[in-house]
Amino acid sequence: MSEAELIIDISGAEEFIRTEIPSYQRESVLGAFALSKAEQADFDNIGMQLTGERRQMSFISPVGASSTKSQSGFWNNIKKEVHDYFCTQSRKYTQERKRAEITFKEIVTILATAIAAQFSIAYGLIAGAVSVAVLSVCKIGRNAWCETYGK
Amino acid sequence: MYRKLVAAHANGCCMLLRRNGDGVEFLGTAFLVDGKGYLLTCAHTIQLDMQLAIVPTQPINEWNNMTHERVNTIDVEVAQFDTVHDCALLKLKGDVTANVMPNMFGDPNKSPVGASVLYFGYPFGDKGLHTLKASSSIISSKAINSNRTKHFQLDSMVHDGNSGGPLVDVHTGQIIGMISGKFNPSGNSGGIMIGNYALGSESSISYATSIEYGINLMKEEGLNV
Repeated sequence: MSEAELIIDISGAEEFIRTEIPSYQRESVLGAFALSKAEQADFDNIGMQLTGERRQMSFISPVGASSTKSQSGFWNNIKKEVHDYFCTQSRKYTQERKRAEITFKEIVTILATAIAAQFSIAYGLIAGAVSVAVLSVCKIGRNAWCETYGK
Repeated sequence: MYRKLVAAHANGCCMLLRRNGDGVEFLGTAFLVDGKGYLLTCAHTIQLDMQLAIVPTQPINEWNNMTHERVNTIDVEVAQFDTVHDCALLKLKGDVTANVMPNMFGDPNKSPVGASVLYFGYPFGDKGLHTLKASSSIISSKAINSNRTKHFQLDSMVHDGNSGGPLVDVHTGQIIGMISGKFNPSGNSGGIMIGNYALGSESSISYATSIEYGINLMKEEGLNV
């Protein structure tokens, strides 16, 4: 799939975020939407905060059990699914890739549904983080995103 | 003075665990908030790819074993997950109902500095202390962190395992917050670690997140609060 062939309509992205992302995640996801000239690290930071893998610097130390302090890698799982869709020719998304144009909402829904099913969790829990990952592809550019993935 | 409040709130508290192979690992504390089987806890106690379960508390006024070698668990799933305000809503799996006290939530804005509070939890649950601990304190300050999240500052020491426990205003008998952390004088600047324990990280200043964020999750879930 070349850059010229893939058209993601993000004109409805902001409305999707405002209406379908849980209210407590909207500000973070809109922050990602507003990023310009951003690097992957900026989206990683927002995404990992939404998945709970990164906390803002603070003098408050959480008092969950020490076993919860390990990293789950969930954000990487989300990026892996995004990579599968945008950067490979895997069979999983063959039908979706045939479409000349697809909306932001459709891509997020497809990917979030797949990831939610994989981990047996509700779609709404990760829709925000998946939105951030898709935004990173849109903002950075698909070719550049795919080339730097995993580096 | 606290007997009635302990009797009212203790039974709603649970140990929060995750399944790990054939066993379970302790994560923190959770408490029932809705008769349909919903519980609140801190978001930082869980990760989305965990298989979660709870162990209901033992009868509070009986002599209970300090440590359980085996537990009867009830599976739960994550319903809402707010990492910004460090709050998560869980739900018991299956068609279950629970008994919760009516009108359990108070208005955090109406609890003043100096108010007496009770909080419940399982400190050192991962070290084998499996009895619910009822603790008393006062609201020593009201603070907003860098996330603009409201916290009650408490004049007490909390420990790993306390996260997710309810904070009760003694005057009203209602839940106004959820235990979430302790003041760490060394911040996030690292320091000397022994295993997972950071030297110099203890203080007798602790924090409870305002219950309004938990209530918001319940409303997001469509619950009548």
